[in-house]
Amino acid sequence: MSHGVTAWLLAACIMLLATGAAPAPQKKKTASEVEVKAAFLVTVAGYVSWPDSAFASKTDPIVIGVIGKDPFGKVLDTLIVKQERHGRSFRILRLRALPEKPTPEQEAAADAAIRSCHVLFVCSSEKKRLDRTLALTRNRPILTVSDLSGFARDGGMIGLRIDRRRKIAFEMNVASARLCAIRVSPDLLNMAERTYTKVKNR
Amino acid sequence: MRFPRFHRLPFRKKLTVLVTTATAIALVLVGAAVVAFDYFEMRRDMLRDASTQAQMTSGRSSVAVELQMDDAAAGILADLEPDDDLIAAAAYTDDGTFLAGYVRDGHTVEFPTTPKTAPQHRFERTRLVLFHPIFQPLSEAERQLGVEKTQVGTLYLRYDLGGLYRHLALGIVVVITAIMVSLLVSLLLTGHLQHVLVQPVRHLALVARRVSDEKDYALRAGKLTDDELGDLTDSFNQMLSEIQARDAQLKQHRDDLEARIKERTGDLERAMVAAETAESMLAEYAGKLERRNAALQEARASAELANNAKSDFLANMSHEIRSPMTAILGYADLLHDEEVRAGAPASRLDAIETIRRNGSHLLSIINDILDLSKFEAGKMTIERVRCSPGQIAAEVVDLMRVRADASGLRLDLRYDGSIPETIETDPTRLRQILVNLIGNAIKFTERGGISLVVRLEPEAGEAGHLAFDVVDTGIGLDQDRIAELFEPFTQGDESTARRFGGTGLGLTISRRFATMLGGDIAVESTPGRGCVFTVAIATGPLDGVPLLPPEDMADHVRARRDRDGDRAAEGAGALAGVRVLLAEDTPDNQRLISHHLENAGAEVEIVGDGRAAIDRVVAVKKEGERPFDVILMDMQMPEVDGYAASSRLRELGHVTPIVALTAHAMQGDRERCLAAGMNGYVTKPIDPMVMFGEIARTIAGHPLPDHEAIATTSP
Repeated sequence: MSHGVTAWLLAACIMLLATGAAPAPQKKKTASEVEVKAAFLVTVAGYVSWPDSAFASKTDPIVIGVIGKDPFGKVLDTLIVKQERHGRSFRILRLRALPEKPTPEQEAAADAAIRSCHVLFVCSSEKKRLDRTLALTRNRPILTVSDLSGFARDGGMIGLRIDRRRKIAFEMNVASARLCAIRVSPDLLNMAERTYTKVKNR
Repeated sequence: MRFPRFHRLPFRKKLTVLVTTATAIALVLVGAAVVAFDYFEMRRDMLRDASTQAQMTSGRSSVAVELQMDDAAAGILADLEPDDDLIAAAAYTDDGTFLAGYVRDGHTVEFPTTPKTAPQHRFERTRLVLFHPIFQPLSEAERQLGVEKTQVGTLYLRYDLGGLYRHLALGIVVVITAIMVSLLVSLLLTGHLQHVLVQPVRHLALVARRVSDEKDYALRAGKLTDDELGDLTDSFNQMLSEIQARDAQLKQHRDDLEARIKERTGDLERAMVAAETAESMLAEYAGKLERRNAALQEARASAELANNAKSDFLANMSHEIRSPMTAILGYADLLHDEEVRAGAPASRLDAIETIRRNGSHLLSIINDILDLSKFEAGKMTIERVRCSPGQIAAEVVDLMRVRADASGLRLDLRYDGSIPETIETDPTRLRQILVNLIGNAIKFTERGGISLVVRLEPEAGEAGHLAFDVVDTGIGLDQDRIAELFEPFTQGDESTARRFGGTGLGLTISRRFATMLGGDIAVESTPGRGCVFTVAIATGPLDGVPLLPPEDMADHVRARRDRDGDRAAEGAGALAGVRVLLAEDTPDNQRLISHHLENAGAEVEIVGDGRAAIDRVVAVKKEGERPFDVILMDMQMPEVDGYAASSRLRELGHVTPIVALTAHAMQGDRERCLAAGMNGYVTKPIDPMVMFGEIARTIAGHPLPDHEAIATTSP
């Protein structure tokens, strides 16, 4: 063992400790990153309004699509139980990542799948395919959320981040939202740590 | 209300005080209301603002709370900093855990550990505390659908009320200042404008005072205003006018009065002078009256003395006059008896008879005169005795029969109806009247006869009158003569007097007696046919007295005569063996009386005065001689008189009956005699029969018959 390993172990221990002993008095038991992000997805739906055309009926659920490598596991599914926003329940739709060279059928399928989402969480696995994924959501009332860094800068609507204290933080691109007829509550906007007002031209 | 200090204030001060007080109260109330209202409004506003703030903040922080973004939440809370009243704010998550808080610099706040989830506020002493739920946002559509909000957390806000209080304080200060200023203004205004109200009042008061001070009722108060004070002024002026008028009237009256008083004073002075004169005159008169009174008293005294002297005189005169007459007549009788016994010739007997007759006549005249004198002197008295009228009438008729026979006239006695057996009257006087009337009738009747009719005059009540009518067939009288008849010294006419003789006193005396006996004498006559003289006398009480019818009268009279006759008979010889002590100073009377006594068979011893009588009685007792059976005591004796002697004898314990021989038949004599110890009395001139009767009675111990000597003054 070299000093480096020891240091790494120490750092890991410290990190563990740090995460373990969260110095928040009277606070909830700390949630995991995934839980936080999942909670965000549910919460954010309350502060965003889709046009009526986004839903077939008044009782249609809000579809949260997760495209790419699903980090949530069962968390999201558990979370959405009994949750309602705008009087709608939630449904999770898992989507496969876009292939490199999708066939038209694959594209159409992907397209249809995406189209049925109201919220699309772009997993970090889709980093390389980000533009193509976003292109699919263009002009569609779909709230794009991702924990990829620079997501909001790069045209996504909300970019998530977990800060040191395991608290959620996010950036928002209002232009992107505006472009696809999604209205974002100012209160939500207010919470963003950074807002982008231009859509990066692609 | 009792505020003495207030009431003592002058009017304008009162006004000021009132206005100021009213204003102050109003202002204070308004100020208080305003301040209070303002305060509560402020509080409400504060609360509303707070609520709004809470609302907004909770809206803004819902994301953070939902996502538990504590920093963001803190940031949002910190955005409340500009609200100076906000001291602290906190956000709690849906399970009540504290998420984030904001505390203003310089304050320390302890956030509540668990929030109240329900929306509420609480005003505490220094702060306002709010709990506001943080909801998930709801779209308009959802709201319209009535979708329920989901609470994701609670907002806690704490505000400081300091500002509120400062505002309140400021408000109070402002209001107070405003009130002060207003009051000041009001005070000034009132002070300046009060004279508007006060002036008329003052003016009125001033005028009133002037009027009363100067007594000038011509003054009037000016009417300065046209309100109630104006009315008051009018009334006041009216009153003054009235007073002025009255005052003038009063002056007028006073002047009149003064004039009248002057007049009256003059009158009064004159009256006073007159009164004084009158007073002095009165005093004079009073003096005169007193002197006259004194004189009158003297006169009365002398009159009384004279009266008494008169009585004494009469008494004495009676005695003095009658005694010699008694002696004359007595001795004439004596002489007659002696001459008869001595067989004197008829001429001598006639001579003696003449003496006797004339003496008798003289005595009757003397008696009449004495009686009349008694009447005149008011000293005549009558007895009241129960006696038989029938007997008296019979006796009188018997007595007068001789004279009637001598004149050749019939004389009879008749009873008209039933007659009381006895009546109460003076028998002696009745006899006297009847004798007088019958005597007159005999005198003035030449032919025919005289009747004495006795009748009871019926009357209501218990007493009545008994009437005796003397009916004659004489010359009669005409009316003029009747009137004169009862005057003394008239006899119808002078010629009749010469024809018929007499002194003319009889009728007068008879009438006076009749009056004293409770009746009167009346005359009825037809000239030439005769007269009826009726004497009516009071009978006295007749209850229990039997009424005798005429046929029984004769028996009744006879019975009484027998009884009296027995007495007389007793008297005539019943003095046999009686030892008599005679106390009499006059030798003539001594001889006379002892003569009568010895004739009756008595043994007589004579003494000349009271002392001798006492000594003799005492000596007899001492010597053991046979005591006297009776003492005859002459009342009028020198040295010791009858009264004294009797008293003395009684004192010495001698019980020998004493009979008084008295010339006084006057009021009180009987009583005096009895008081002196007498047992009986005989009046002079002495009737021997009466004397014998009295002696017999006293020896026998019979009490005096019921006598009632009435002291009646002759009318």
